[in-house]
Amino acid sequence: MAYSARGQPILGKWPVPRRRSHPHHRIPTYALQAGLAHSDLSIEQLWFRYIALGGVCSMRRLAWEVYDDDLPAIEHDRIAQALNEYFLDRDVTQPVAYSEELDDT
Amino acid sequence: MDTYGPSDDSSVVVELQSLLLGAERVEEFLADVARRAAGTVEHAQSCGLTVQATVRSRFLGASSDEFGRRMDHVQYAVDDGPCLHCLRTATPVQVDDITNDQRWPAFGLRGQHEGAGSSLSIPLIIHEKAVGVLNLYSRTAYGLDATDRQRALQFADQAAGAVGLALRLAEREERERHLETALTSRTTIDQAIGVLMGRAGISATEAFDALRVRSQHTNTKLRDVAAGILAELNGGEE
Repeated sequence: MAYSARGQPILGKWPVPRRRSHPHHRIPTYALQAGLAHSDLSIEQLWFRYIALGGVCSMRRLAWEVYDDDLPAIEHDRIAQALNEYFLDRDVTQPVAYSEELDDT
Repeated sequence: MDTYGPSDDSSVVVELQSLLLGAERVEEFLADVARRAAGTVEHAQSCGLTVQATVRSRFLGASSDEFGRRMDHVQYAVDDGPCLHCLRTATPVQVDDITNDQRWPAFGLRGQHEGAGSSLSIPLIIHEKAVGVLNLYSRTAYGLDATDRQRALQFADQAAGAVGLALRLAEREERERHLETALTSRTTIDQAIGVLMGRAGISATEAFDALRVRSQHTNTKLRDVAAGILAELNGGEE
């Protein structure tokens, strides 16, 4: 079985990105705003994708957060993932940066 | 095709409500409305019904027959023509001679090729906004007269409410489908996160990040990465 040992094999095969800060550290939202503007997604469509990835915000809250100045890193990355999967459907590879690429602290 | 004579407003509305209740899907209802319209307007050989669907830039169409379908699709293909002009401006458009009309040359050429002579596009208006367009087609130039136009206008007035209601129902159904899909996907991802947490002794956030990085590196959707973990787990237990 691929993951018989506890810990190392999974982490070796499934690397966790190294954050320079806590997952609740706030990340600027400009990459999300640019991604949303380049997509054809409505906030509602983005929300369905975000909920599918484990997001917990209401649609109204999501609309607010995307246009807020910054977001907790984990929320940022969930929304970035939702946008990048939309672009993946259209054969565009990851145009929206994740928190580890944007965190300049 | 059945031919319907002029009827009073209430009977048409009741009939459309009955069609709406009996239809399994909104497209089926719209096709019923298109057939009913083609029967109501005496000289119309064919009718198409175009509505603005919820997703941006997407049209939903239905027609009384193949000729009407082809004529509507000619306009979707060039993103222009009397139907789309009518939808965007909420004003009726009559084309007496499709071959020689200069307003929409791309539509004119293709329409002529399909064998159309004249057309009439009437907006379905709710709260001063066009929710759809009734398109009537004749195979002859100047084939639709003032009486046809009057009947088409009356029918569009009567049909607008039922078509608007059908669209609202369709929107709700579409939302339910999206939510169901989202929750199914979320369950798979949550289970995979649980597996990674248990095996690697990492937090839920770290497990999500691990799935995300794997998704990035393989250009695979996160739910498919998660499904792969669960499949391996199930395979290992067999």
